[in-house]
Amino acid sequence: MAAKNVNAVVIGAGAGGGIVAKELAEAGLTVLLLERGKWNTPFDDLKDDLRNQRVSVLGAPFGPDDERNPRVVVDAPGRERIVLPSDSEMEYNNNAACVGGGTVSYGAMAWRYMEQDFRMRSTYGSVEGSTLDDWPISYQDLEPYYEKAEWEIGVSGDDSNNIFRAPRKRPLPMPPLPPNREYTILKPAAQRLGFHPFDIPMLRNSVPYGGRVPCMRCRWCVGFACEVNAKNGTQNTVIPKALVTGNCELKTDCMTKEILTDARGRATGVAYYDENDHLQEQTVDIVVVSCGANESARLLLNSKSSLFPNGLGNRYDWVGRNLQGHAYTGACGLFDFEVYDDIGPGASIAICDFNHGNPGLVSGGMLANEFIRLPIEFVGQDQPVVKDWGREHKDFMRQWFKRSIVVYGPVQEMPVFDARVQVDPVVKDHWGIPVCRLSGRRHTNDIHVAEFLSTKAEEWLKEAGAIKTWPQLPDSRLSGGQHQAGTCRMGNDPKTSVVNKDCQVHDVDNLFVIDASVHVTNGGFNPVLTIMANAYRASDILVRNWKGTKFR
Amino acid sequence: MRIACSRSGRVYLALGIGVLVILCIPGASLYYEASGGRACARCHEIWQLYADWHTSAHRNIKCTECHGHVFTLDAGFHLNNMRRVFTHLQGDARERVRIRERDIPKIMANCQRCHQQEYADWQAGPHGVSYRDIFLDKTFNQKNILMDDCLRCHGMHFEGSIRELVQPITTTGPWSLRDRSLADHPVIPCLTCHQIHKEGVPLQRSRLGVRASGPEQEIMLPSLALFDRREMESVAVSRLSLLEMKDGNRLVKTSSDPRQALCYQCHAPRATQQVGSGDDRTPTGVHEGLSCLACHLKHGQLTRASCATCHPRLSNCGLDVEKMDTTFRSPKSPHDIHFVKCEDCHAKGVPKKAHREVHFPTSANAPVKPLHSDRLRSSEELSRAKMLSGVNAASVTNIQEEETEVTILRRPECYNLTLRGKRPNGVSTDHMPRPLAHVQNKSTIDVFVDKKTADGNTARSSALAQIRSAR
Amino acid sequence: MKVKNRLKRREFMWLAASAVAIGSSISCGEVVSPWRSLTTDEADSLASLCNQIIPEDQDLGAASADVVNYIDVQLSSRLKRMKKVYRSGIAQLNDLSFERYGKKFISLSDQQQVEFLTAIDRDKAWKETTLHKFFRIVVDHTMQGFYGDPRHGGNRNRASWAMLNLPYPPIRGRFHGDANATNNSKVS
Repeated sequence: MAAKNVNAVVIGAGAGGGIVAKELAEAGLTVLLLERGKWNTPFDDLKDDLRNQRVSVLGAPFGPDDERNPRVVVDAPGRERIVLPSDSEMEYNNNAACVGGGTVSYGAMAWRYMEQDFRMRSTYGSVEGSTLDDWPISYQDLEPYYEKAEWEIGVSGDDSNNIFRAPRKRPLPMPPLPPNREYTILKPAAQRLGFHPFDIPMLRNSVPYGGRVPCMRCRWCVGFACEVNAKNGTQNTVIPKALVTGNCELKTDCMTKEILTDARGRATGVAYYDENDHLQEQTVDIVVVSCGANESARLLLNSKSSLFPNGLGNRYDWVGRNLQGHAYTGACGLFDFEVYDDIGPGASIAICDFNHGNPGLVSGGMLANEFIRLPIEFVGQDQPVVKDWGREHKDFMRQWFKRSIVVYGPVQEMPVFDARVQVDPVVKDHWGIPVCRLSGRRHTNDIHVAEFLSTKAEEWLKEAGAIKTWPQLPDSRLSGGQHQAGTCRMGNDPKTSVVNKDCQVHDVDNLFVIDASVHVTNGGFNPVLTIMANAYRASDILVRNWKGTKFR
Repeated sequence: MRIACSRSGRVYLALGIGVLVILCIPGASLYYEASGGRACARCHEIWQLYADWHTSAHRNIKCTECHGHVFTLDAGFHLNNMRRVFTHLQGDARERVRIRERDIPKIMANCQRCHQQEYADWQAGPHGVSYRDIFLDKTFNQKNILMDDCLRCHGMHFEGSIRELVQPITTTGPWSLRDRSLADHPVIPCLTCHQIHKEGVPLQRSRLGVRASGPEQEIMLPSLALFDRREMESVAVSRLSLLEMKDGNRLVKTSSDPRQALCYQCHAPRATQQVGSGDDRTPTGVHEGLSCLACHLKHGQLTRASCATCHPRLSNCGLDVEKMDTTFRSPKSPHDIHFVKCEDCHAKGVPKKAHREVHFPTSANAPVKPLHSDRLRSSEELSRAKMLSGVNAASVTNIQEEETEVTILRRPECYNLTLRGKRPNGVSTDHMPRPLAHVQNKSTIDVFVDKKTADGNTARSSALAQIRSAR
Repeated sequence: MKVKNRLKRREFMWLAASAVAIGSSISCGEVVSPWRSLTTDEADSLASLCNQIIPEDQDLGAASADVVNYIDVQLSSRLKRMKKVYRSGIAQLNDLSFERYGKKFISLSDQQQVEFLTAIDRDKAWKETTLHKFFRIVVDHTMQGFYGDPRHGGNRNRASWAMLNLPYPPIRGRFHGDANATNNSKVS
């Protein structure tokens, strides 16, 4: 059954897709926004300690459901294993599937990448075992759109003390939240060490903004939906705006099967399963894929035809390659005084002193204090102090739960050609669509950087008065979970990339990929603001090239 | 599928099945009734509630009084019971029995039958508001986008998000309730502050240790509990916390009336704990230290009559206290009782009053431990401390292994009062804050009073007052 | 909100029939085990195992904080597939305890229990055994039941949060005023 033709189908209502839908709808295009999840609300979770996007032992309320969405992971020795969304595995956890995507339950750090992050190859040269490259665009190309994202979605914070930041034309729209206790402890310590601490930019209201109230500073933040709507995601900013235009229709519970192409190799529509699992076809002028790095690659690979036997955009076998996330590293410190003040979101202070220029290492990462911790999360701290059960452990909890600080940061990963998303030849999901098959591992450089950063984190904590610290290091397993990126690389050469710098698939002129899949490298930062800025930039170009009802 | 059978045969068959079904309907209800509820209580779904009821104030009231009688003709009642049996047999019964929003009026009607005066007070008071009053208020909705946190204090029993309650979620409106039948339902029903199947000891009526509750000592009813929307269950008032409120950097003297913990959950300050922030109404100024319930009636929240309990109707200067604009509704009111200060009325200066000196017995120099930031409260200790020292306010501070320190604030000086006594081993601290447990389990407690002297040193009173323990 | 309580006709018929059957037979009344998935013996063994993972001291231990109930609830719902693991794990624990000490696990002294469990957890010989894996699962579940949300059946009366001095529910007021007021002046 074919529905009425629309100008654009946007697949995925997350950080990227939400913005594209709004920009296109406001420009007068008719848009169909397809989302495989629901329009979740805080009531779906009610701040459940055991069932959230961080601790998903009893399920992941804002992610895909376990029953219908398996994945296959191939580990280093080549063993295959099926993973489920709520499995506490690096390969799947924290993936979202709802209106707003990860922006519903994220921690909401709003980082601009640094100038070097767009020119990694030029800065560091080639790295063995890595497909490290420069972005085809520069920071300056993205700067106006960073600003647009900061002001349209809403960012609070103050990075004026960050001497390493890339130049910005306009300050952040909101001041930072008042400091919490960890901030007041860590700031002077960082300054004594010669670091340059500053207030983390966050997509979170610190004052009334966008008609919504500021953060009430509760105990349940990252991993949960915000009950006062102070956490700014696409679900409470741009998507409602898109719907208000009357040009955008949002369909939830719709799983896209494939992108349909005609004999000339242009995209003609999409086939998707609606909420009743009925297969629908939608004819369309342009298709925008914004499903996140794993699922975007999967959709392209599953869209096979005689012209594209290996999937769309995959003529040179680059779709699904270079899957990156972030290797998180840092340290935990114990203090002989109380540092916990029960004031969310917890994360408040960061340093960018070690993002670049670390001797003997390629890249680096930002370091910040961790989000406010719940008791069950503190249990999970891999601590070397006592055994993790028994009388000693109970004492440990009593003594240190309120006397510990974690300093943490994402390592900018080296893209690895063999860290990849494929579609599994055997395993299929609920709808019979072949699932993601993830394989490969992290580059050894990521582990070296992680070790280096954790020593810096320990140094910082010790200076702040920690009486005991220990590093928390990542392993070499692939990161396909949160911060997923890189699978549809943006580049000028069709032989070594999937999309051009306008996010248009090289082979198919009316097919776009607009999410973190196009990131060539993923910065030493949480990527969401870059996804948003790039979505604004790509939609801007798209709208400018839009001529009437047909694209070009 | 067709069964070869005569027409009349089919009719009889259908009738037979019909009769059988009708007879079966109350089956589950009968089963329940036969054992007076005990049979089902043996199963896991409701045993806790059954046990709670058994120890509650309502234990002499039969289940059927509230939950319906086996011979009722209400088909829904029997169907519900059948469904319970069905889910029980399938083994996927809910872990906890929850009250559904649509059952609230029915439950409230039960409350009303006995507690008529309380019900009438509540209905007439500000807490007797309905979904229509709260969620379809144009002036509010035009300024604020409704959010899920609204439901924390209004409509906490509603099973869904704000998007499922009101549409549209914008500031333009027009707004309507998705389920129109909810319009007249109360948003703060009895069950917000009371649990019927309450936990705890039966009929324990404890006297509050604090004065300042109006004309007579109040009795704390054990049913007081907050319905916590996050967990969708009630939290007994004894487990709720009271905050340490601040006015700038000054610690505000607050009443330790534990019932206030209920009020504070919704009339809450922002995370800064500043008085007057958020929805906070902690009194400062002349009424600092009063409990909410010293003035507000429990169910109707009315206050007017309360002024006259402390103030003569006509004061010396001829103001009629009952006609003053003491309401909180007008932020401009200079006599808002929550923060009125002496100077607000005595613009030309406060008349001098004979200052009551606090006399301490002999003093001995002793170092004073620095105050710790972790503060807890205990009503008994505070009232004892007040009584002993004649000063106004206190809050318990650092809990040492051996002693408990109490800070007594009295501007402009600050006293440290130490309640000293060995912490007994194996004391259960489950139900009360630690210092209270400590004091209660000690028969006598020595009291020191440290006073800051003019030269900045600390003098400690050596004559020790013996306090009998609260028990 | 739509009410999903309407019974389908077929379901209704089935129910009616079953109601009679149940109503007449009081077999349900003779409860074999008060637990959903565990037998009474298993629950007792599990309780003493959990109580070694989070022992009773001045604060509640795992068993009195309803951790066994949490595990029981999960085994009958989300973790149905782990029922077998628990059944064989508890049996194995008792068997081995009998082999080593001549007693069931529950009858061992406190010291013996700790010694036994520490061996299972730490000794190299035990790694990769099913009992070691079972023990690690119980450790995880005990922590969840003790430190997690009471709504799942554990953490009775929020005992663990009270132990950590975490007030519940936290008192939080919101911004009180016109959310649009400052916005208009700021956004250009």
